[in-house]
Amino acid sequence: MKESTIRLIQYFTALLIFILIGFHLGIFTQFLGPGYSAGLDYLSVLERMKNAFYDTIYLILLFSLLTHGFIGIRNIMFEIFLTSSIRRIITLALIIVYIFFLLYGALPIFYGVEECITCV
Amino acid sequence: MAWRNVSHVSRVIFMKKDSKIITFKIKRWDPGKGDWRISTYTVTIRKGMTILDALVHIKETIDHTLSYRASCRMGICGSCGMTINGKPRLACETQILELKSNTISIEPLKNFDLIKDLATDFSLFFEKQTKIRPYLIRSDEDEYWNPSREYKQTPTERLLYEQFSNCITCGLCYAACPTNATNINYLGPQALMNTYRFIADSRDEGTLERIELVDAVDGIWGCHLSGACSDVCPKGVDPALAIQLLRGLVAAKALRRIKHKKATGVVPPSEAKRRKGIPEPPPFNV
Amino acid sequence: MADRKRYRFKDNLWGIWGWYGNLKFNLERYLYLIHRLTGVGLVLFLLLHIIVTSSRMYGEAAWIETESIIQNPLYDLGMLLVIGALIFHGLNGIRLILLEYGLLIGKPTQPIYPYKPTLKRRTPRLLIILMMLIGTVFFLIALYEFLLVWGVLS
Repeated sequence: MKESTIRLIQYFTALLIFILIGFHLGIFTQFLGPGYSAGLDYLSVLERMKNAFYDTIYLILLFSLLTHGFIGIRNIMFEIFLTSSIRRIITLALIIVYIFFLLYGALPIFYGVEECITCV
Repeated sequence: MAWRNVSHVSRVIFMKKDSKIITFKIKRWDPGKGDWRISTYTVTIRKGMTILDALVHIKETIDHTLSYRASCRMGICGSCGMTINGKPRLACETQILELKSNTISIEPLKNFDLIKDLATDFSLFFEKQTKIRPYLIRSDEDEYWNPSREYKQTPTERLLYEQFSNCITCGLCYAACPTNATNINYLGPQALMNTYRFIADSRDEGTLERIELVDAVDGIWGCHLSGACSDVCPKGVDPALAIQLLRGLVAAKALRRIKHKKATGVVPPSEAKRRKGIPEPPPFNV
Repeated sequence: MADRKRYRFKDNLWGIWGWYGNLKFNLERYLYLIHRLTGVGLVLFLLLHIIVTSSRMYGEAAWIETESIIQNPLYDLGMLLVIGALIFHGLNGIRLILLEYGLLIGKPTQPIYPYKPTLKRRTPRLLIILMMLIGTVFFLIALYEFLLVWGVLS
């Protein structure tokens, strides 16, 4: 992939994150949502996870955050390590970690034990 | 007689007020041992003396073995860049009393190869400079090599690159850049600025080729807008501005928003009549 | 081409210390410094956050257990720091996007002494002030929320 394409992805995900993270943090304030402690209740979390709208937002957020972050880490690594073979190894390692966390982060959005002990 | 005495007294007062004893700590590279050593010199400084004046004084009267590179002593040649009190500066343009410290540390210019003491090797720097093709690229080869007329350019078009053509290749931006601090392959502010200088030139047609050259991790994307290059530039060239404008062009090309630039055409030289009484020039002898 | 073996760059490079150690430059260089530090910190937090929130998969018991581990003032303080870093990184990133494509950075001019780089002119500096003001407002909202959690405010 061309370097300019990678950087454009970096900037577009940045703008996406800026909007979505505002939403993500907004629901943990008194002004826009249930608040920090109440928002972390299992019932509240379950309610959000059943909502397709929230699921989509979390999925896009997860994807763009990981992409943005790992491109950033790659750039810092490339400034420290200059040899092309080491750079290739770094890219490969970062891609593996990236895919692992993408899958591991996406799992709880789609799948999970739905029983609720304290639910009324 | 009385007048001369007064003059003498006033000169003493002048000396007391405007001279200062300053210690220079010079970090020197020893190429034989391959190691650093620090030499300390004490020099009496008068008002108006630059770091380069002090270095000349040290070399002439204290230590003849001190090596440094300097030429024009007026900020034109760009040879005497060194790290003075932790910041890259031109030795010939830095007033000692303006630094306002009694000990001044001098080191060779950072991020450059070392030769001896304060002298640094610019060969990689100039290699990068040639890599970006710092000359006009044109499709009309015949006209380029055997010019019959002159290239057209308005003052407004000239203003687009005039600032960037003032570069004296002193390498201060290169030493200040945080990306160059680890990555010696990074093209550096100077080469990228020069790329934009030729792209912005209305007589040039090599925009797309040059964008291809700089579109890499070690090219334009190594810049993170820390602005240190523009901060240290002694000629007001502002490489940070040029790099950002160039980045806009590279991004535009990635989004397919840029087309091949057609250079301005040629015009015959303007007619001028010789005034009466002014003799004809001698014939060309070269 | 010069002989590459002759190069003594290792002895004269500023190195990683050069990103952070030299504190004699302009304001933007420190913003760059903090931007990079917060960026690395946020990626590490993101990975931690993914691991912590994935406990939802294993049912409510696991979720409550994780909650009991992370619900202490120290973790909350860390969370506040992360939010601060996030606000800085985000707003500074917006500033960088606006400047890096030549949108607000200005035009080349004739260099007349004393030289003033474009980054030190009015628009980019106003952008920094604006960024800091908006960031402060966001951070105060987050602080208010955490003061409610800690029971300082009610």
